[in-house]
Amino acid sequence: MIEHENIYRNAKKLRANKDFQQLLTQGNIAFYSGCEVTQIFLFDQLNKKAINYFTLFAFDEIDKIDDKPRFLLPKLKKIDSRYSLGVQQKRIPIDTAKRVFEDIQNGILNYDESCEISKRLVLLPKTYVPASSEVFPVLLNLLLKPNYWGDNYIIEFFDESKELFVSDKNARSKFDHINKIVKSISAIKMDLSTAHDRIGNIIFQFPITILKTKISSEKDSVNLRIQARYHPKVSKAKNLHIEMFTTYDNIISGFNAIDTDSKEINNVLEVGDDNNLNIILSEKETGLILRNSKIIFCKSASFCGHIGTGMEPRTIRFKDGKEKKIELSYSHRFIVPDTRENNYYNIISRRNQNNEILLKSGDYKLLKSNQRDDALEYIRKKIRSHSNAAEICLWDPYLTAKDIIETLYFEDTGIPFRCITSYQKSKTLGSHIQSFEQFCVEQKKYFENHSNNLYIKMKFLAQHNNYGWKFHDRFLIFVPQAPTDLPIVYSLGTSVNIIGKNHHIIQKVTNPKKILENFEELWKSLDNENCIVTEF
Amino acid sequence: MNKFLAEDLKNVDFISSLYDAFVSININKKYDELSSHDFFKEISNIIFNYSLVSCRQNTNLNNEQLTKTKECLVIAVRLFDEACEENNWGKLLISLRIFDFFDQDYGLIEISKISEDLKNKIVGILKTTDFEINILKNAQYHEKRMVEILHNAKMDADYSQIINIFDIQICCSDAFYYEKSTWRFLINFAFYLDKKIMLDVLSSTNGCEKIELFLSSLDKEFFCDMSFASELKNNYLLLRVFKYWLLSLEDKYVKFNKLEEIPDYTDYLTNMFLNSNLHLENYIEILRISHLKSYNYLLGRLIALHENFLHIYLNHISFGKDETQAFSLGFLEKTDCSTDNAVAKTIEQIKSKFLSHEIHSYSNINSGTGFLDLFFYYFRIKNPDRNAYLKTLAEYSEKILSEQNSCNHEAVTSVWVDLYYFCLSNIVGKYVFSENELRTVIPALFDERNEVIYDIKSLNVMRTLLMTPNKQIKIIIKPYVLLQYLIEVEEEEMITKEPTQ
Repeated sequence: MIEHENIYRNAKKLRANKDFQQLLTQGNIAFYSGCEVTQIFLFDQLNKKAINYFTLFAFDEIDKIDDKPRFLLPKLKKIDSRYSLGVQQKRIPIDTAKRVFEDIQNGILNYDESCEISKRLVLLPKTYVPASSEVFPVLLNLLLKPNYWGDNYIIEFFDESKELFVSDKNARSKFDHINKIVKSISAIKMDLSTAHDRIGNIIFQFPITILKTKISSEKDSVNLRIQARYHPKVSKAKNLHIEMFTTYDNIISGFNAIDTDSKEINNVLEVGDDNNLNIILSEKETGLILRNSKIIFCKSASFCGHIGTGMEPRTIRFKDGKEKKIELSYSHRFIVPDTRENNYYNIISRRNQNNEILLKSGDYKLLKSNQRDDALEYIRKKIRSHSNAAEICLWDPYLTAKDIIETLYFEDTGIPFRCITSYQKSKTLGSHIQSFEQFCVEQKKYFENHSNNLYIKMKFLAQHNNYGWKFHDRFLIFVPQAPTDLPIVYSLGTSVNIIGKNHHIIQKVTNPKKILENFEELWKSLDNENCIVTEF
Repeated sequence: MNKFLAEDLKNVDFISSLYDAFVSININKKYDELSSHDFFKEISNIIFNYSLVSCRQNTNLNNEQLTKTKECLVIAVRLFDEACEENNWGKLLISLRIFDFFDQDYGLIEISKISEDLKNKIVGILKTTDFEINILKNAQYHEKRMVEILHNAKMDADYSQIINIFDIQICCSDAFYYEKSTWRFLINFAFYLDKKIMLDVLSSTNGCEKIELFLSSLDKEFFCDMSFASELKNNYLLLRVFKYWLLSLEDKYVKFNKLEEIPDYTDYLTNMFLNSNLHLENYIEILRISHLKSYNYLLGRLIALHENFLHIYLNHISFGKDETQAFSLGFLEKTDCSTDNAVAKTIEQIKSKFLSHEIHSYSNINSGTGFLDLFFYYFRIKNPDRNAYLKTLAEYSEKILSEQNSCNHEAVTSVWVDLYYFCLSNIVGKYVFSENELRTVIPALFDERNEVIYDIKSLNVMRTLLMTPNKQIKIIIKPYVLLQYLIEVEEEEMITKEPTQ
């Protein structure tokens, strides 16, 4: 096993050294003239030595060299009784960087003052790191210096020992503390808390500046244009291979490639599609990638606006006598540009979205004790954000008028509500209630006394005696306009009357269709005059 | 107004009807029989109904109508004279109402004839009359709500809210229309008679409604005299007078492109901004004055003389072309060459605010900004000769390189926008640079990679202006964007030529 490890380590080391030479060769990917070193280190007070926490050697095209390092923390930050944290930056010549690269392979890191490094550093060959985007973030970029002109290559010494604070019980909190300090330094913008697997590593960064590219869609969703311009120091155009492919629904929906040795690149490729574009631009002689991106063209946007009606607001009166006014509004949704709802793209998208809901919800709120206000606000926010729903249903065995007012009444656009309670359960909340009829009267009175009930369209039914069937779980259901769309359902985890009082979770459920089907089934069996609690 | 009624009324020979109405009232006889109040009310109603036709201004009068109009005015003059002789309050009111209806100034009457007694009566009426907006029981919800908010704002002395309601809700909806047409003639006559009367009335009033009604009824020409009166102490009144004063300047000067003829109001503005009880700065937004050319022009003058007011301008700056142009004009008019360093410092702050706005609002390169003259002046102070200009170009190059190599690339665009205006300023300097010279000093300008990030035409404009500044080029304002993802807007052209100053 160890022998195998040595083989791959040596092979990778050999390749990494070749890569280092290749990437530094002037005109291959850039024209470097200096290197900026950013070093995060721990100073060991006991042994009076610095230990590498993370070091970045970023090559650039600035000639300036520093005599002394600049300390990015005004003084060493104490981490514990033994270690203090320091962060420094220094600009060094390329030759020094080359020497340091060799030294590190021999276990020495010394470009200014000696710094101890891990004894188990494995040298990895060059890795291509595409620039991050909002849609496709690249974690490693959190540690690199942003490259104005495009993507980066890196060559990395990976610390496989991870021996820092290894036997320390408080290791986690110490790492958190250090990473927080590092993240707060605006001059370097490094986030080691997210990319924590790189702690102890040393990275050499090679920004690609040889050309700048721009990709645009030709509006017909078939042709894509690529423009590129070279670095001013490039005298002869390179022999480039440009490859574009698009994917959709896990299939390759379009592909095209060209070779070009033109100095001014401005080509239109007939790819066939422009969804989820992948582009790779490489140089044929060196085999180096010069640009790789995934691009999503934003083709339409949906807007949902609330316009005030200017009408008298709905009022809700609370126990303490305070009154809340719900300003009523019209909701208006439009899509720009105005496309047909049912084009092939939208139909497949909707199915994909439905699949995503089925597979993962990722939408939840964890509540501890005494968080009733937070819980109610979370539900109200959900209600307000679904103003394009056809109906909102609340299904809770302990549901009363008070709960409905505290939740659904905060919806301001007049969406119809359907609510189901269980008389057997909810009557226990009021000890004096004798009969179902009396329960209904009480509920109606509550609605009338605590709100002006303006623009409420609601039907409130109760399961009792032999009507319907007994139920336990509590759900908030948003019924979509289109019958083919999946409903959005939240499991409340507890009844609305005690929501947020004890530990529970409100979460979006992953099988919403089934819940709505069951609700409809129960609704059908209760939708008669014997089960109506109240109706507006 | 009912559409059909309006159509009917248009066909009425209103001048004749009005004349007949006066005759039918039979002024001499009927006046004795009616109380002054009733009589005043009746004649007001007649005139008000005709005012509604609103064709008074637009109708070309025929000879017969002209004759009858003249006869009405003769009656009015006669009534005025009789009123003065007899100390007759009723006749005075009718006479003034007729003058007001025909938009006549008071040149036809001998103002000196009016007795102290009548004067006092006018003051008494104007002083004792009070107004309060109340809502009808059957009013719509939003109207009730508005009045409720107004009453609360009055109790809390929340001037911002009161101004907001009056400016947007009440004045726009013409809720004051009837009241205004009823009182306008008396208010304007009182001010004409003796401005102290009106100042006396206004300074003794606290009601916001009354102030609003009186100020909105008053002819704008009176505001220039009124604004500086020391009698005005009420903060609400001061704020409203300030706004009406600016509107009067807009009418008198801005409308006729005579901005430079606005008199020097520096002292008045200084006093207003320094009035620690008033806090005028807090009301600039709510008064909606930062878009007024007169305001910007006057502030330009003020800041050129007193740099300590700059923060007020910057906090409420309006970046429109007209506003910035007015400010630049006022500022450069009062700029003293002997204080160039201080001036440069002031313009630098304005430029910095402008650049920040340009970048963060994702607006296009704005060659049409009215600040151009100001920026050109600044660049000329900072770069008095070719060498200095070249040195500044090198500094821009350094800045670009430094920002490109920083951890935050946002500032690069800001430097490019700044550089664009700097190159544009060579329209004035006309320094000629060779391509080789520029490639050495500012290589970024010739780095072709920038052409896929920034707009190539903007880059070409910069190169051309530096290499051949004497050549007239057409700069298309707005559509050529510096940032690649901006949306193009309609074209406007600016031909490069030296600005006139």
